[in-house]
Amino acid sequence: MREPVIVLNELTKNYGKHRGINGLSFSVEEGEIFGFIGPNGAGKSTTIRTLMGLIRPTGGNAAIFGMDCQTKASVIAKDLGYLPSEDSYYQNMKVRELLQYTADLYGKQCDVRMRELAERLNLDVSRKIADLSLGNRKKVGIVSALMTAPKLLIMDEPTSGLDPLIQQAFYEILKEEKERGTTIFLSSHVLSEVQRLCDRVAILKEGRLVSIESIKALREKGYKKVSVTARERIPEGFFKLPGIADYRENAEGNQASFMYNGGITVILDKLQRLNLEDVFLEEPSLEEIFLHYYE
Amino acid sequence: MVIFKYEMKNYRKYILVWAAALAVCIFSMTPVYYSMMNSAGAGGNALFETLGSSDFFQTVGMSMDYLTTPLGIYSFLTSFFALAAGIFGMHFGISIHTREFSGKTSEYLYTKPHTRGEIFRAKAWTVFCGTLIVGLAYLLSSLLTLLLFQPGFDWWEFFLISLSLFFVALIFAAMGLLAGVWFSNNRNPLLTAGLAIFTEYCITSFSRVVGNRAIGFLSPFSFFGAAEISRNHFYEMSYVVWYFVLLAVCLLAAYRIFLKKDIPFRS
Repeated sequence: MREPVIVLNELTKNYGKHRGINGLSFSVEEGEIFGFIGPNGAGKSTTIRTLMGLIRPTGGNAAIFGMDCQTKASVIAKDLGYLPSEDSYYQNMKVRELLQYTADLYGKQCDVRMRELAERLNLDVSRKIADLSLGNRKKVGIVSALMTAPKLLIMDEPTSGLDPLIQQAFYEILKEEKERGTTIFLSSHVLSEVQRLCDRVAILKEGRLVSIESIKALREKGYKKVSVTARERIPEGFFKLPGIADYRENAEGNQASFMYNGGITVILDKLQRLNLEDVFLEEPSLEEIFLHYYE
Repeated sequence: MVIFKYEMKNYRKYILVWAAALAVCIFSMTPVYYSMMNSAGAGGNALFETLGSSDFFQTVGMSMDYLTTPLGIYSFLTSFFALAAGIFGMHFGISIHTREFSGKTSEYLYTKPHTRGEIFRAKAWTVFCGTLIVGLAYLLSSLLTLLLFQPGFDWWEFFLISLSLFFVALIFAAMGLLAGVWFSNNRNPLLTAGLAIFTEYCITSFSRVVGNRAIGFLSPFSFFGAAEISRNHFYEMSYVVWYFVLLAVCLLAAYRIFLKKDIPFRS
């Protein structure tokens, strides 16, 4: 059996009064795309920066390729491509110079891959980084992370600032990387992105791991999103059933929406007792499923 | 080596501007001051009478007798240019680290396949080479101006005086490296360097006026006084030993802190 590529063991980072991360334990298998989601301040970037050896954990440990992230960061980095959440590139350099610097730092010849990626992402390598828009700087980061053909990609909010067309190109590139056997660990708060790309997802809340689910399992949990419009006011407590969550009603009291996880006949039986004008039974988006984790 | 090469490229303009500025200043000001001294001497020593009796020259480590020697004015000017060199060294030392944080580039550089030790050494070598270039430019320019306008000086003494500027810049660069590593979020390295250098200069002046050598150990400006060079034909040995101890402590402390510290982020 192959060893996981990333292993976190009770990883903890305290910033005094500020929240960090607390006792995170999970692993990422070789060749999978692993999503790491949570709202701002949940600890996603802290976890990633600890994995990258930029900050020291106050407890626990983390390993990549079986090596400790703190003591072997530079060895791990040889097979790792990292995309930070914010643009972190030398403003006085031209894109080509920065990408060449990346290649030099890795001691690799990456001209062909660099050109290919720049073309696919529509990135002008002759421009100065200071003159680039936020989206174009993100493209520089993506090319820089991918051009060395790493075995592991760690990406913090990779699509923030990218326009939809470039996002599509980026998703395609990631799928190709996965086919090539690259392990991808990405953080995001864009759940549709996670839904589209990832095999598994870790959900983080206030520095703690809430759950790790496969995307398939999440969908199979059986949650339905129910939206009801009645011709008259819905009686108070009418939908007080087990399995109902996130119940919302309009001011007039004739429209309600909620998440339902229970027997379908039970809810249909309830619904037919109302004088209905309209009803929707939908598969919820991941956003809506995850709301439960943050309640 | 890769990081050193890129750092040198990055700071090339900065180093050359400082080197050129100091070189031009010493080249142009030396003949002007020698001419002023000659005029003052020819006119009945008015300048000597005015300044000679004050503590002013004592604060800069000079005496009126030494000022009238062939290298007197040069060492007097060098004691002031050492201030600028100190600011250059300390600013360079601080900013080579803080720039990674203010420019948010630390997440780029520190996640590449190079150890923190390699990164520190590359940056320290860049600062050393930059300081050496500035020191050499000053030395060559000084040599040229003295050969042209004040020939007949003691070469050994000249080298000691001229090199003192490099040594002062170097120790402040090492202090700057330590300060930059310790307070990586420093947003104003130039102001920090300026204040530190001014304070150190004041300490030296104070130690000379009150005649307390022990206080002089607190400031690198005390270590290479022209009067001592003239008297002993070398720097004062106790100061030289202390200089290298201080240099080693600053570099080692900076290195140790850099290896262990969390990389701060600015968003």
